[in-house]
Amino acid sequence: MESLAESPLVQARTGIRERLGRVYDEGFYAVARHVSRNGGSIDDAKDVYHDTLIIFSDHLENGKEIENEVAYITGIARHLWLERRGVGSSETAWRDDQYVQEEDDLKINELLLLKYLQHAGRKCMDLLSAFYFGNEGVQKLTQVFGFSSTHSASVQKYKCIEKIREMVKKNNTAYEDFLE
Amino acid sequence: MRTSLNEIRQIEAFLLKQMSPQEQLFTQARMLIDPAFRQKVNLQREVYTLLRRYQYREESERMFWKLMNDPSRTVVRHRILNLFKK
Repeated sequence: MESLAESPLVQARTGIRERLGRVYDEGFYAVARHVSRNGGSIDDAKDVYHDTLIIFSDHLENGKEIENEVAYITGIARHLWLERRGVGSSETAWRDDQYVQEEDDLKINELLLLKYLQHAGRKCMDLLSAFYFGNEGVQKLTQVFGFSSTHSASVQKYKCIEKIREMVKKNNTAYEDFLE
Repeated sequence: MRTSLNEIRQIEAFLLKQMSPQEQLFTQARMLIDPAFRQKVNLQREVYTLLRRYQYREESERMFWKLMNDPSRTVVRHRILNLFKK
């Protein structure tokens, strides 16, 4: 049974999850304070914060050394909040900030795609998450999801990858058209 | 399994480094000469990245729920909620 858990793609994941857990409360307070002072609601703060944590975890997975995590997170959140409000040339400000490097490629459209997948692609994303990140074996997952066999389960898994891949392709094409 | 799904299975083996060195080289060569295949590999790589980020987002939602409901985090919860009181 293929498992992302053993692959280099997610080897660092456990440590990153622990870091996120340790920083969550203090990080949320810092981001919430910034958002509240700049006209946002608690829902805005939560949304911006969770987008920030995705970028933060991406940086950690790319091996970035981060000492002051709360300051780092707040820096990213400030830019995301500016982007959300469409204020100023956040593109330039993004690159000039010490917390964001030129090679960082997580764009707003990727965060939007993720939100889209949480709704339109939820069934597939949950299935794939269970296969790749769950602790259950393929036999158990076949039962849980009601497949007739492990072969059927694998076929559905690959169909889901195909479906998500098409959504990504459409999103990338739309974004490139938007940039032109 | 139809051809397109078999190809997805092969691309997965490539991306998760589950191929023999020979198969890996063959796939890399195919990516060099076949742009459509290369695009499929890049898109599938993006799918796994998205999956990882999806996991982090789900994890964040669980942590938010705990923050808002765990009695042991009442103090920090009120500090945050008070920021938004008019």
